[in-house]
Amino acid sequence: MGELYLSFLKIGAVMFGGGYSMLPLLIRELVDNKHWCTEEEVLDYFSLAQCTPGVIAINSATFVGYKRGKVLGGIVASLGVVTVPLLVITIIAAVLQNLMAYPLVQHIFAGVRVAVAALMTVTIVRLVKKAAKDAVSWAIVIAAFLLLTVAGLDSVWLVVMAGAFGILFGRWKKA
Amino acid sequence: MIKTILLLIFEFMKTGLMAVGGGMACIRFLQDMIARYGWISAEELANIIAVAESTPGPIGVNAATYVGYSVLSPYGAGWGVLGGVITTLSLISPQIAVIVLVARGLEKYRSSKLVNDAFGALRPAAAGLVAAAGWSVVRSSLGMGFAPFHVDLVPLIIYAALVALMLLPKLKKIHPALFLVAGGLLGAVLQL
Repeated sequence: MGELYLSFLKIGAVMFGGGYSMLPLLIRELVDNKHWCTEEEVLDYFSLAQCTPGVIAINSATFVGYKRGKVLGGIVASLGVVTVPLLVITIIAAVLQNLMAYPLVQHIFAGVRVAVAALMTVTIVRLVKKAAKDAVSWAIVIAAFLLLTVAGLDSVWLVVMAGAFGILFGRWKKA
Repeated sequence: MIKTILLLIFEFMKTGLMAVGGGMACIRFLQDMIARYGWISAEELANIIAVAESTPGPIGVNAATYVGYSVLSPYGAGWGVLGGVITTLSLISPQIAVIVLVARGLEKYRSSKLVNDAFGALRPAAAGLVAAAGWSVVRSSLGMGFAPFHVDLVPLIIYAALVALMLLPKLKKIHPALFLVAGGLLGAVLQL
């Protein structure tokens, strides 16, 4: 268990930019270093982690942890992932709160926010390209966007509606 | 304050359970949350996303920790630290439970027609969800939303230039944090 925790602590400490950057780290640590899983298993967990709600990195960690040590393993691996980020973010949050009083820092962050907006735009372009394969999926992407932004729908309801629609549409296609 | 803590636990558990599409989808849930309770401003949340993107760890977890800190830190730094721990654990615990259940019936889950059908629509919906999250960050970063068709010109130019640069295939390998640094430098020089 200690080893499992440390492995995921390491992964959480060096991954940048969210879940997708985690895959090569998972393979190196779990397949090459520890021989806990095969590469196919890791790829499989990773793709399943995207078909389950929530942060992808936590889902992947829980899958591997569960395989090694059942429920406790899943919890230990996930706690490993969040340990370093939790410490780092808490320190940054505390420091930044004091720095935000300076106009220079406010200017810097105004610029950083523009860069974040650009970064998110590019991520979204890639994501939409991947998700919108045909007319139906395009319609869902656009409908979801408009429902949230123009109609002000709550995200929870969007997820519920999309899931229900998918199931009904699957039935209808088969019939 | 007890009420705020309970609300944080409830909202972050809901996010962990419902945010299909990973950390970026969580951002949209955080936007819903701050709009409903007014805990922090849209600009503050955009700052938080910037920090979450440029520090180690999953973006969803980083943002959750930061929001928890920001919401409770007015009561004192110690409460802020506790807030970060509370939101982080609230976010990940329902997910861990879901994955454990899925892992138990892995084959059943994978081959389930119900699950596959649902995700056929959930994947594009998640892309729309993330797009909505991005749209609201774009709006707040470019000063839109105060007046109907107002947009701050200088940030708009920087934004367009950065998007164009990031889409260049040659620059794909550049670490995203470098673009954030560039944005910060421009912000300081141009007094945005």
